[in-house]
Amino acid sequence: MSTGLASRSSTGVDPVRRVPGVWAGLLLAETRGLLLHPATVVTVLLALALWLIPGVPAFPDVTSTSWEVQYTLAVVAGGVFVAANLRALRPYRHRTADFEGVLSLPMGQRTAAALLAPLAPAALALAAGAARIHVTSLRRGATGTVQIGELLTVPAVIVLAGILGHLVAAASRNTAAGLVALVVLGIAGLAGMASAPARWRWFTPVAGEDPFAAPPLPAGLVDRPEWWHLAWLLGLAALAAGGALLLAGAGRVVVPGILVLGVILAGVGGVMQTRPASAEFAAQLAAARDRPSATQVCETRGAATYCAFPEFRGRIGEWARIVEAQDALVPGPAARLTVRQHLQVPIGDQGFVLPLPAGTWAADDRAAGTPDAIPVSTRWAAGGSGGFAESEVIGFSAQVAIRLVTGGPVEAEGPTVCGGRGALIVWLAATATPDTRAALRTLQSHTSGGAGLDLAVLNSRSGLRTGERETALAMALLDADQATVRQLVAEQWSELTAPRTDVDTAAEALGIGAVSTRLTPGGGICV
Amino acid sequence: MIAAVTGTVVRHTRLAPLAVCAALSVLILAAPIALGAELDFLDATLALRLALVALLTGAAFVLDDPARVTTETLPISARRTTGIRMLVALAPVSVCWAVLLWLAPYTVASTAGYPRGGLVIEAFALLAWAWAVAAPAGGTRAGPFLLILTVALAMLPDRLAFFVSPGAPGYDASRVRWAVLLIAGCVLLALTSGTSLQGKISAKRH
Repeated sequence: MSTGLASRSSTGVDPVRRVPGVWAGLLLAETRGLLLHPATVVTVLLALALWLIPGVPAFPDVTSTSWEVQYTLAVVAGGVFVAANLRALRPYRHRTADFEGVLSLPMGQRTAAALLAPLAPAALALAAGAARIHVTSLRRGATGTVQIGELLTVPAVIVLAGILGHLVAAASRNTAAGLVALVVLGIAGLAGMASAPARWRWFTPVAGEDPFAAPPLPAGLVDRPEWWHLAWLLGLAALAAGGALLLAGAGRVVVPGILVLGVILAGVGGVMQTRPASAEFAAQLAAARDRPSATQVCETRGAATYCAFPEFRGRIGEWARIVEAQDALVPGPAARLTVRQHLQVPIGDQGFVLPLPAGTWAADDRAAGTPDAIPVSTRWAAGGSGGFAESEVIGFSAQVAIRLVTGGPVEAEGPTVCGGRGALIVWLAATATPDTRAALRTLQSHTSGGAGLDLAVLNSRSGLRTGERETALAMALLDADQATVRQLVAEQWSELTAPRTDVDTAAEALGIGAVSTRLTPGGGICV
Repeated sequence: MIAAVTGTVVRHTRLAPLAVCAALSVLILAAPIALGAELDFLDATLALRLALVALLTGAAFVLDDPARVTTETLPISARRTTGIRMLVALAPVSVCWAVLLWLAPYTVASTAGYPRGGLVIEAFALLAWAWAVAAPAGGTRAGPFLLILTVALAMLPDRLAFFVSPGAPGYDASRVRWAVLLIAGCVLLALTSGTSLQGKISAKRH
């Protein structure tokens, strides 16, 4: 506030002639004050802690991270709102409003400086968001591309929050009004983050995605009108700034221009961001779901072929490690397997999980010359990371094991495999790599009920299902000396893979004592 | 004399923000009920907690006293006037929280029970902390503090989580953490309720 004061006696120059310099000084003071306000500082530190404490998991999707940074940095927007509101209320909170007549700058120019101050925390948040995305892109197995429009939403939301904080203060001198407005905005913001895929969520500051329903997608298949949303946010910011300047009695030429610009940006952005995806885009997405071979690249490693969306090509090494590790445990020549990446199956009505479209996918595989391909998700995770994507790691490994043990095709639901074969598949799937072993442990830690094991993949009903005793034998095998188990498995492969071999016979053949588990009364997949 | 001052304190307790926020909190749960939006259990619990935060944001202002520096000559202490204001506000806050807890099951799609007894403590633990800050520093600082505290608690990792859904693993342990938070908040409130940092803070304005 002191920067806005100018005295003729101290310099001998009419303060009005020094307005640009005074205004620049005021802008600097407003910027510094907003940036160093406790609400801004605390929320910036909170956002950084939210990122730094858990760290960045392996196999991240940079495309998704581009909008996920908005969730965390929305906290900073809340802090900037409070800071801007309280700073604008200073003359009333501290009862200095009566002395404003002695300030050299008119109210409109002082307001303009306050409205530009949020640019500094916005730039800081932009840098933090960019750094987060950069770190993410350097992690093991990172896929996807940076979405600049999503990243620019971060500073736009913060600028909007700062301007709204000031506008609320201009409209009401009650300190409680600002916080009530923030609570309302916060609730609207949370609703927008949690309401995917509803189109109206784009009217809120941050349009969220459901991490369970929305898998990592090739960037071209992501239905997010982020540039229109950016126009919407900038339009709102312009309207709020125009309103605040109007209340401050600012210039009659500039303010209508700002308001017109705001109406155009908010109007066009608001309409365009809520339009449903075009028929062409919908057809492209449907093709990627049902016939992905047309847009994928394939690599041959050893006896196996791996096909992936180009952005996910880096994952092929992870899949090959699992396939080769299992293949090495099976007697005979290497199996000629094909692995093809697929988008996960959309959730059905009322949240029901649907069967895998095995027939449609098999037709695409045959047309591409890669019949009976084993599907693998666009999700992936390091073993033991605790994320639900680990179920895709152990689930894919189990699909490979099913093929090696039973030779059967990928099924729309299940298959349920009981007896020695069930235990063998679980052991093969888990022992392949340290990641698969840890992923099985994670899955078990998230499962309760003890009715057996369900290693469903791609958000569908397809995947190994086996019983409690089969699982118990597999876990005993995993705890035993692996060199010995591998040797016994290789020697007795025919016996272990025979459908008639039950759990007890398999346990005896593999040198494990009697498998005794308490079966769930009336339950158990293989009872 | 003391009775007269008490009456004055009661009359001048800042209840308007609390009334607005209480109405807002009820609206947060009433809106999905009226719209027939049957939420799942997690979203319903989230809505309930959002309503609670909205309610407590208003409660953060009830200890505000613009004339506090001039009340040192009153026949009752600052601690007592703060206590009176807290008592005046505690009743509507408790009633509104009870209404919110009563409304919560109507937002859920499932007809299964909504075990919400353990949630009662959350309101009073957060309120104790908000008032512990509001007593010396006013609602202007206590309100943002409450919001930041809530966000910080919501972001804690699973093993330290506070906002656990009823019936979820770790719910019972989270109640113990809430009890510790409540006790710590009450101790802090007892320490700060008779003090005023207003003068010190106003010297270094932001």
